[in-house]
Amino acid sequence: MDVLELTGVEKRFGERTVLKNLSLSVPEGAIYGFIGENGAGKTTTMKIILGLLAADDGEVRICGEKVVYGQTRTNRFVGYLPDVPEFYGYLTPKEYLALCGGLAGISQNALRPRAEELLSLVGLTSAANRHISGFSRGMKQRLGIAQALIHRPKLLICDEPTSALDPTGRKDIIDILRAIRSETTVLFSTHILPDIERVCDQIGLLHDGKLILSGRLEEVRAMHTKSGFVVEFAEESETVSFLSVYPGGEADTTSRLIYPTATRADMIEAMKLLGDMRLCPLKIEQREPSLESLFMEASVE
Amino acid sequence: MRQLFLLLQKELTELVRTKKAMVLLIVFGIFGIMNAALAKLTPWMISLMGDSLAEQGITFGAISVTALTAWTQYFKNLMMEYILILALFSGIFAQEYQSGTLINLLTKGVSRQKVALSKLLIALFGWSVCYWLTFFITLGYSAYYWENALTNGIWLAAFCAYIMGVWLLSLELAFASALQSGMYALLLTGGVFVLCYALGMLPALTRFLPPRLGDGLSLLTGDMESTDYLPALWISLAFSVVQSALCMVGIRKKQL
Repeated sequence: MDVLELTGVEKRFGERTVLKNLSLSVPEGAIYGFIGENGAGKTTTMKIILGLLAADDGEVRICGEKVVYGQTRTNRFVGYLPDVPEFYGYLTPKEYLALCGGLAGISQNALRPRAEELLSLVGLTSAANRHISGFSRGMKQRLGIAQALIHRPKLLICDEPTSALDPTGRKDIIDILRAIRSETTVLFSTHILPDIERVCDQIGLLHDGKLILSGRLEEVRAMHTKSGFVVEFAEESETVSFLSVYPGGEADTTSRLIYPTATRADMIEAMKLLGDMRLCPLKIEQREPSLESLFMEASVE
Repeated sequence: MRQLFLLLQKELTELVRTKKAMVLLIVFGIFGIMNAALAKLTPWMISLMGDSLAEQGITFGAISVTALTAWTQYFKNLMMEYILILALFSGIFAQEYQSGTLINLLTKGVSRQKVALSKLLIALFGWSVCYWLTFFITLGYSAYYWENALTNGIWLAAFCAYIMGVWLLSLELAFASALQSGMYALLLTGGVFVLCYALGMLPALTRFLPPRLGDGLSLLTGDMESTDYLPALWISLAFSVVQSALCMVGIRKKQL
């Protein structure tokens, strides 16, 4: 079953069309990486899903229920972590979670253990009674995840949760997302591709208001088999002589050649040639299509 | 109901922990003390200046100070009280809109109207506490220093001035819930007040407009009857209800 379904969503701001007939679906249990460069329309899409913005056309459904602008009942299924979550600095995380949980309708008895469980999940137990005003960005981001999960949502929407963080902070967030995957479906927007590769199993690539690539991560990778190969030599002279016999490669460094569009058959041919020339490279390997190359390729198309 | 209670609790915590409550209580307390103190000190201050004024040919007879002097001061200070309370609550919506703090709450399924209602109630609560604090301090000191502290008509006069505060505050919050800036809400409220005040210059309209409610002194001095205040009182109450409703509509249409 699809937890989230967008069909033909359009959004214009004045003359500018930000989303053009956007359709996407997120199956239950997935961690869906919603990729796009800055300004591609990721945040706009998320705000429409949350009913914070009105779509000009199209339909959004969460767990089968239609999202309406303004007061939408579908928000009870959703936890939302904004890109820069803001809190009331004069409250402590415990008080803040009690407020959020109470507003989400969690009973008084269930609230305290749930808040403690989440604070320990996001590593804020020791700061549970400190005022939020003194928190670092990473701590706020983690508290943001805790508040988004307080009511055990079916769908967690994270808007660029790692973009503003240092590598340790990013790793913490990714680890938390991994830890909760059994409980909830995650829609996670970012332009940091390694983060997607570390945690997501489904991706959708938003470019210019349209979804230009989507599916399971391995499937998307497999569709783009022209990923080429790399040969690395010990000597520059070997590089030069191999390139003269087998052209089409780009010299990455003086000893490394990349054949970006080569197929598997091309690679076998190259290995044969290497043998014939009695050249022994340091290594020759197939290039795994990185998300970055997919992203570039798809954006250009 | 639980949501509203939680939101009210949050607003109250904010007032206390951001020290706004403390500032309000201290300043309004000082207003209350000053009303009586200034009246009490007037003869002494005049006698202090008496010699130098006498040299310029200005002489004073015996100056009698009564509770009415303290109440005169009370009504003169009202405008300051309005400005202070309006300034303090002008940012109650804007700071949430600008920082995005409401998004976490709204995506939990809280209705926007409840958010607006909680803010409206807390602002009116703040105004009620502060206003009546000043009133009762003035009353207490007046009763201590002079006889007849409860001057004829004082309850109605004080209530009218209180309702004018309710009108101004609900007007400001109606603007504030629809606007991105607290300063604009404050300025627009000031603008509407000045407009009403100017229209009040027309004799035909003066009885009906809210600024009439700030002129409680005329009731105490006997220049006006209690019935002279009733049209403005009812109209201000009606406006306050409409403005409160608009405050809740304003937040519904707000794009966050």
